[in-house]
Amino acid sequence: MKFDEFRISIEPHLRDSSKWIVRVRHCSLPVPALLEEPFVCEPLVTRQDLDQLRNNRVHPDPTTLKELGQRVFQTMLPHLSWAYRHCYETAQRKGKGLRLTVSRLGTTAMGPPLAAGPITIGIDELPIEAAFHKTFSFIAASPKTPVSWAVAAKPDRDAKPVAAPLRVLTVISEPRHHPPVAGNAEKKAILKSLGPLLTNNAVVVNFCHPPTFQELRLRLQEGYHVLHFIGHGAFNAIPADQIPQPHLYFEDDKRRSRPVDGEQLYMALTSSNVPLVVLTACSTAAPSPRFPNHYPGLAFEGLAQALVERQAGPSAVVAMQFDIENEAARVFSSAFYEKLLTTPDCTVDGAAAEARSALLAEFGAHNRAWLTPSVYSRCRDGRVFRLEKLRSRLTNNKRAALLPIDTKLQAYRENQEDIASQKIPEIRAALRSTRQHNELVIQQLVKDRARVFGNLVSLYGGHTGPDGTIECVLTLSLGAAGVIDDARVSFRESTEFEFVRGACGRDVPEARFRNLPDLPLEVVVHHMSGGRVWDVAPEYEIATLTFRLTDTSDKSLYDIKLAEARIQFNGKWRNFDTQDGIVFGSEATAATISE
Amino acid sequence: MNDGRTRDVILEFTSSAASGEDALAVRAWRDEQQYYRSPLAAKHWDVRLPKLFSETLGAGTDWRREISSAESAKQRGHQLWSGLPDPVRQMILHPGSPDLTKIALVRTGSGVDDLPWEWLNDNENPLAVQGSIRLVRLVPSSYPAPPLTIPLPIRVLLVLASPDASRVVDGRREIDVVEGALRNSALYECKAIKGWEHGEIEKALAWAPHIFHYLGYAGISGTRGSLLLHDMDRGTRWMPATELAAILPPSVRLVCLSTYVGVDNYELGGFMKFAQSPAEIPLPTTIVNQHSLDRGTATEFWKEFYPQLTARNGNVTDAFHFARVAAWRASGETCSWASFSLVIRDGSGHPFRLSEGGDQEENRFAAEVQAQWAARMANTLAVRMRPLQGAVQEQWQNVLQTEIDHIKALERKISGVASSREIR
Repeated sequence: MKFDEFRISIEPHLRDSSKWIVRVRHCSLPVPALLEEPFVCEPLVTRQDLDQLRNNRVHPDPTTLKELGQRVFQTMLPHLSWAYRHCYETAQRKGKGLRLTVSRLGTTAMGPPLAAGPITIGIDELPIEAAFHKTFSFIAASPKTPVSWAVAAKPDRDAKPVAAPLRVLTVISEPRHHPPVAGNAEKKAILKSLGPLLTNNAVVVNFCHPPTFQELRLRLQEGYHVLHFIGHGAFNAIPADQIPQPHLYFEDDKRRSRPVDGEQLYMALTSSNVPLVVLTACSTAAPSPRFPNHYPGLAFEGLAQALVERQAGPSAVVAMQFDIENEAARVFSSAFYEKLLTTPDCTVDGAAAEARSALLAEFGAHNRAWLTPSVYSRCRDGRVFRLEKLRSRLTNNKRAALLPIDTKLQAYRENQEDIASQKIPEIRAALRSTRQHNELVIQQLVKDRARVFGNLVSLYGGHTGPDGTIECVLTLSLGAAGVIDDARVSFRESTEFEFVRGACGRDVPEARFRNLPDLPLEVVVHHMSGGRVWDVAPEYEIATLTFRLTDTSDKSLYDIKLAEARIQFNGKWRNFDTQDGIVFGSEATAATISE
Repeated sequence: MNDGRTRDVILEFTSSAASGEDALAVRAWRDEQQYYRSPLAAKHWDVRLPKLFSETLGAGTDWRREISSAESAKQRGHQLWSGLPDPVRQMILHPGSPDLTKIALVRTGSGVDDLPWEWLNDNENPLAVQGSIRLVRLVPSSYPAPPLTIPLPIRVLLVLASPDASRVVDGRREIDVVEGALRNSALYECKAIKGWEHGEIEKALAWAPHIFHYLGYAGISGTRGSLLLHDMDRGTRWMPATELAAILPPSVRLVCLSTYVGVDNYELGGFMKFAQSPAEIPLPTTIVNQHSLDRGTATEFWKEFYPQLTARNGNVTDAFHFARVAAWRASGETCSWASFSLVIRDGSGHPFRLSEGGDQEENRFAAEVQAQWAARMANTLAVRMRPLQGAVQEQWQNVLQTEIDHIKALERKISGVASSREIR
């Protein structure tokens, strides 16, 4: 299902600690004034409500939960339920759902001296997943109306393109002297839900054995797209330093408990580029507990929040805001992965909503299991990754070789974008050679990357000219020698570039370019190697292509994306891996195009 | 990075695996590069701080919002000192040669960072004001950015950012605490703005200031500190370190975050969290207020700091130390002086070099900005490389070395620009 977005932010009121300010940051309503207006609200959820929700022994009954959910809704959307409803109806008419994203700017609940009035709960404590409205029922439990948290006012990550197979690394940690987590049942449920995908090798699920933190750090270097931790988590003082920190409990080599905090986990993830982390462990998305007589500094928050808000952290974390029972974790994981990985373009909050709905159906509204999963995300459209078609099977060695190259490439790209964002002319001029230095490094990394693959179709870009045109070269590399007959290479549609012309590459007899309106560009070559056996060594030039930049923003980097490469290799059609072209913008080009 | 006349003692406090109340562990390194190369090799010792968290940081004590007495800070500081293991105390007290010891407390992202380590006290006087010691906070860099040579006057952008409007804050008197130190100095050019909005600050930064001095409220959002912008009537604008770092031009090599002295701050701990943001955020070295202080001490600090900065050729660590000593002398019966904390984020604590200008100033500026950018890249790579192990780490080391070679080449270029006349 596709979604419109209704994004709000909540911040503390500086002079009245009993109030918050809610603002609509994005919605489909054509009412600009709505986006400017701060709505003052009084949090209608009390600490007693939270205690009731967090109580592991007695869950609130459905009537109480509905009544609490109504107060959550009114707190989040004070005088705004009409706008939400209107956006929902608009989305529905388009056959879409409506995602509600809540950004919290500030969490303070300690009653700062500026503010008069009673101290409320912290913004981060608001159980947004419980929101109830008579028209929608529990909105977070409906797959049409997912609810998630964001850590900033504006999401800033695009979906990461992932060539199949999608790789999931699962840690099942059951240290001695801790209650069993029934990890095997959850493992089986995940594997069952992904059955056909596993059979087709579209998804690979690996397990981290032994489930130690040391082993996890090593395994992450193999390159994964999802890290899933099944085990125990807690907000605890370790051992008794009075600072409550969130921890995951790994095993050590003697199966004793080894607590790992958010900082350690983040550091392990910085070089692994894992875009999604799933934690089916208790309290991993719980906000910092308020210890009235201990530590009031709000130094910490849940693991989920701490991981997502960091620069090199994952794009999204799905974790548990309360304690979760084994059976509920099993149902959650099964429904979540089934939805996320088998539905094209599924959003992470959409998959979580589906899983909440499954929990509600399984355990009923009186069991708080369905509102336990929380989603923290910084993804622009809710999608963490964009699954691409199944291509070659990379070996572990190749995948491990790609990881550092991709991480470096990412770091240089970010550095290049920082340079482009400089506004002072003298500084832009001073950094011109740094920009060139980075371009050289990026081009080298792209070549290094191509060398790791066996069969690969690559597009090499370069600099845009003053008129915005860019010459690119389309090449073919082989993992084994063979005769190449026909080939079809298709491109993704782009709003930033248009195709101008193409010419046959020096190594092929002829190339045709299909560029029909409303269809993506396709390059077709017949009898590519002319019946000769092509060797592994050189990169063969298929075509030279000229594109023109149509984007007027002053970006330093663009990608011209390839969609698919079908190559007839020794008489059999095969899907080759593809590498997108990186194109460097220039200040002169941006100025020309703007004119 | 060590400047040759100072001995570094880099200390990292973390929660300990040992049992017992208020138990911590401490590791020590000799320099920042070693910190990156051998993250786990350093030996660690247990630290005992009986009831310190519950008593010092408990809700009842509220040490950030109230100005603690000198006596109470002394006691707590001595408690912190006594909790340190002997080998660490020896490292600090008997450093051998050279005589100057820089105690640098590394950011770990844990609540231990929030302890007022500036109160550390071995005997009569706090360590932080002793002549042979420089006590700073540190966000380690794998490679330091070379100083930026700046022709005088130094440009200071002073931002009074009150989201609470002038109804509560006496803007003129607040600005005076800082601007008073700069007003009659030919060595500084100060532009003061009432930066209600993010956009206005961004516009003002086109002036390419060297120091960004923020005066206002701090807030905390989760683990992040924020600056609070925007007028209250239209809602606040919370600016985390990532956002400020994104709009600061590379000419800004020092950020100062001052609290109001006429009204209470909102969530003062936010400044320290802001300044101690993770290393991957390219925020310059930052001076912050970590707890409330009185007007006299604040005025005295800035009155001393800015002249010291030019007198010491842009060495922020030294200028900060002497300003802290002046503030300590002015604090009387309170520990207002300890509100000031220096967080070194550029690998040296010496972000400026002062010059009288010259023919090739433009070339030099370009090379220095490029070197700064290359150092930023090297640090990003080092941060992402630190958790790696084995062969992969070696591969990364090669890429990191490319950047370090690039910085070195730029440094040679910088020192080759001979016509610039440094003041000293």
